[in-house]
This record gives sequence, C-alpha cells and structure tokens, in this order.
Amino acid sequence: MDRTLMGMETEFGFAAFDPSGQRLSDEEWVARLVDSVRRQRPSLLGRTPYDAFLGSGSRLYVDCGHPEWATPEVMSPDEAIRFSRAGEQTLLEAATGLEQSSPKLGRTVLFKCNVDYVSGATWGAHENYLYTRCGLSELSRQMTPHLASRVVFTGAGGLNPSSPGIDYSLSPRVERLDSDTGNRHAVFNTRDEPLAAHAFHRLHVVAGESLCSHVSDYLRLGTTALVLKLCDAGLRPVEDMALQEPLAATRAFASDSSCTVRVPVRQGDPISALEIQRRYLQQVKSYSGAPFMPPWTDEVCTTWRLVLDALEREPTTLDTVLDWPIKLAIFKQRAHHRGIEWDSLPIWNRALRCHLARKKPTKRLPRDRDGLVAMLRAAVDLPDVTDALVEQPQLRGLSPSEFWESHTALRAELCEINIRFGQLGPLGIFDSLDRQGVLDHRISSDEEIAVAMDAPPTAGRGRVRGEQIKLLKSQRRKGICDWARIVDSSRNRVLELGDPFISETPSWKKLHRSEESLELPETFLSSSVFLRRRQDSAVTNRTSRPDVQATDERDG
Amino acid sequence: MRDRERQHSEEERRRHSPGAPHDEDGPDDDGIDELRAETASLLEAAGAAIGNALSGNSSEFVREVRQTGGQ
Repeated sequence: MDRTLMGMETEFGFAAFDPSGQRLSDEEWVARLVDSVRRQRPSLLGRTPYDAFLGSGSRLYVDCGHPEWATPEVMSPDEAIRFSRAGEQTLLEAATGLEQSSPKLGRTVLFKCNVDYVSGATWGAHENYLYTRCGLSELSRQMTPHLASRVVFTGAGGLNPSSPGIDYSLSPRVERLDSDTGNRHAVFNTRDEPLAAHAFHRLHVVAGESLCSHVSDYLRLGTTALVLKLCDAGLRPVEDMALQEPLAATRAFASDSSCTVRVPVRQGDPISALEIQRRYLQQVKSYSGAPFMPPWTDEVCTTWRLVLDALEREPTTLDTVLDWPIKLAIFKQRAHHRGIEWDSLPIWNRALRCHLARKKPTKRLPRDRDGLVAMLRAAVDLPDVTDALVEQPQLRGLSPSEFWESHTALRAELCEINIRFGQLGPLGIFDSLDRQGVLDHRISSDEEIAVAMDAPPTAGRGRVRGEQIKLLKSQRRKGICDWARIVDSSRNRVLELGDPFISETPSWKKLHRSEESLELPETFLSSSVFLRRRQDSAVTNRTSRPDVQATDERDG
Repeated sequence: MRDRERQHSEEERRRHSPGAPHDEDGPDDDGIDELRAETASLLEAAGAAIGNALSGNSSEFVREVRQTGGQ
C-alpha cells in the first residue's frame, strides 16, 4: 500500500455587505457562512468555534477571522486539487444561499488572495505532508532549498506589499515571512503536530499561497511530497546545496520574473532557483519506481520538467498555465493601457523608495520635470536612463502630475485585480478566463470536483471519517469530530482514527468519563448561542447545559 | 497542460526516433507562434473579464474588502 498522505488548508478572504453596500460584521457573517454549509451538507461539529467536519471528510472552520477549508487526507496531488476546489464550490454555494435567504445581506465577496494591501495582513494556503522517520533538523536542511526555490512555479503573483511602487513579485507572501526556520511564518515551519498516532509526523508548510491554477497546485504538492519521500527514506537529495540565507534567497527568487537570479550557497558558486529545482528533479527521477515512491512520481516529474524547461526558455510561455505568469501578463497589459511602460517600473520603484525614505524636505511626489529628474538621479546614477524615463510621460502626453495620478490609479487597479483574480464566482477573473477556455491549467474536471463536494476520498481515514459522518447524520445522531476521532454522543461511544492509513472502519469504543473533554466544547457553545441569538431575539445569553441540547437538536 | 504533456512526449519520441530529422527549423519550430496566439487570446479575454469585474473605484474597493491577518 502506498504510504503517502497530504492535504491542503486554504484561508479565504471574505467580506459581506448589506443591500446599501455597508460592510457587515465579519464575525457574524463568517459564522453564518459555516452554518449555511452545515445546513446544506451532512456534517458534525468540530471542537473550535465555527467548526465543522463534512461528509466529504473535509473540514470548514474559522481561523483568524477567515473561513478556512481543509481537504481530507489524500494520497495524491490530483486528489488534493479535487477536494480543494470542491471546497471552493461548497463555500460559493453556501454564500449564494445566504445572499438569497438573508434580507439583511446584499452580497458577499469570497476570494483566494494572500496579501491585503491596505491593512498589510497576509494569509495563505498551507500544506500538510505525513512522514515517519526523518528528523526535523535534517528535514529542514534537505527541504529548505526546495521550499525557497519552488516559488518559480508556486507563486501566486502580485504586487510586492513592501514596496510603495508597482513592484511585481512572483510570491507576495514571502515578504511577510520572518525567518528561515521557526514555528510561525518561516520558510521551513517546525511545528510538528501530527494529528495522528505517535508513529507519525506532519510537515506543515505555511510559506505557500492560495493558487488558482491546477498545475501550480499540482506541482506545489507533488514536488514537495516527492522530495519529502526521499528525505524520509534516509536519502539526502541536496547535501551540498545549503542556502546561505534561505529567507533572503526566497525573496530574491520571488522578485525575479526572469527566473535567472542566483543566490549564495554555503559551499560553491551562487545558484538559481531553476538549477536547484533541476537538482531535486534529477534526484526524484532517479528513485522513481522505488518501493517508497508513490505511483504518480513519473507523472509529476514529467510536468515538473516541462515547466522548468519553459521557465528556462522564457517564463512568459507559461502565461496561460501558472498563476504568476498569467497575472503578470494581465498586469503588463493594464500598465500599457494606462500609458506606463512596464519595463521602466523598476527604476521608478527605486526612485520612489529613495524619495519616500528621505526625511526632508518633503515626501510629496515631484510635479514638474526638474523635480522628476532630481528624484530619479538621486536613486539611479545613470543620466541617460533617467533622462529617457522623464521623457516617457511627455511622449505619452502626460504631465508629471498626470503621470503620478496614472501611476497611483494603476497601482490601485492592480490591487483590485489581484483580489478579483481569485474571487470565487462569476466575477472572478481567473474563473472567467477558465470558462472562456483560454487557460491551459486543468488537472481536475468540473465533474470530478462536483463528486468531491460530497464523496470522501477512496482510501485512508478521510474515507472512514466522511462515511461515518454521513451515517451518523442519516441516523440523526449527535456527535463531534476532530482529525483523529469521532464521538457519537448519542450512544456515548468514540471511533478512534489515529492511524491515518486505516482501511476499514474500526470498532466503536465506549466513551469513558475521563474522555468527557471530547464532548461538545464550551468554545463552540458561545458561537452557536451567538448565532441563535441573532436568529431569535428572544434568546439572550444562554450558555447553560440546556442550550447544548437545544443547539444539538437544531444541528440534528 | 495534460495535452501539452502528451504532445511533448510525442515530440520527444519523434525527435529521438532513428532517422528523425535533427533540424526542423521552420517558421513555427518551437511553437512560438502558437504561444503568442494563446497569449493574445488570454489578454483579449482578460480585458473583457476585467471590464466586467472592476468596481470603477479600485481604491475604495480594496478598502471595503480589507482583511485581518491569517496564519
């Protein structure tokens, strides 16, 4: 039996508006969104506020104010994409249902994005991979060059949130990472919370972003799982390729849309992201067919090689395939539309950074030609280049003031496009392009995704979880769930799912008094009562035990 | 992409077959024209999609949907 398991967690941007366009309470409407999904599909409560496990084996919950969809544990990147996109459809249906049934609600906006350019907040899509043997420090050494360099195909694309200008980044979220290795926003995350029996470990990758392209996600999951497989088998795929500064290297790779920049390594000559990826690919291919490698290894390697070849040849050849080249092509078009030459932006960005870093005399942008020249020359000591740039606005018939207005308007427009690109539903730019058939990114069909909205995976504990949730709900039983167990509180029994590879439904065990913590958690009560209070103004501040039963009856 | 993989595999087989021509230089040997056409289609479709999607006041829209941080 193949011993590969992985999963994805996607944090969505969400906003709800009343019919007049006023923003509504996030807390209330995210809770209602989760509740709406629970009304439409069989589910059991999870153990945190606004938390549900579904008949597909997936989990929907609220994390840091964002609706977050976690796929069930699956055995291949194809499956992960299917369940991830099924989550999007499920959320979209629930949001549409809310809009139709709630007079107070005008519209909702649900989107896959990674950076908020107003608040500076960042969120993303995390990955989980099961492994059993490799030590964390060795894993960090072997995996970090991969996680740093994979941005050339896993980047979502967008504006660099640390730059005041129009500064394209293959992966905007990397600007918000804060360390090489650590248990928060690190290139290599050290949090090992297995959510399974003691024999297992979980590699939790938080450096990734929400992606729209299936191929981007396929490579993100497929390549990372395969590199991990080598490490877990005791191999050392990149013994001599340790990056001198992994976080700085990740940012350097993300800032270079030509994919040619080289970064220093601890031993040897500087190396590019593509060279690092080719080394991993070569190692993975050489072990294809080994008993510890999954059956889809060759398939991933083929796509991996094709994409690396294309990136080496000319990254724009992937502008119908991967997220960041698609978005870059659109951004360039919009700049051209507004009379701004894309290739001149790096110098304007540098000049802007220098200008805004000055304390005196003013940070106001120059409004005349001399001011523009002075601003550019302070940042770039190449008179020919700066003079040519200053002429550009005039050639386009723009005064310096009009140029800045155009620049500011373009930046705002690109920020909106960044959000609209990953918006779920008919207004979403990526979805619209996909429907028009101009993209070449598909791994899963709409039919496969539709099946994954309700059917659990075909193997592993995700299958058992999904099947048991459906069974309990069909029998109108009460219960709660987490990743490693299901509690049937109607019969006071528990189903242990500590083995992620479990193939048959195990026997239910009696729930002992010492395990009472598995019963409905107090944290959930507050959210459920909150919803009830909103739905029924007669109900106020009910947090006692009878409410648990009342809530559960409604859930049943 | 899967079509592209299949096409690539077929091309690889053809190139590596005994007797296959080594120099296939022609007007569209690398498929560049086809890729350019794909990009043109993408940008045409994107123009329509963006026209449909944008709010008309991007600064205001971005402020309206502002988000708090995730993990």
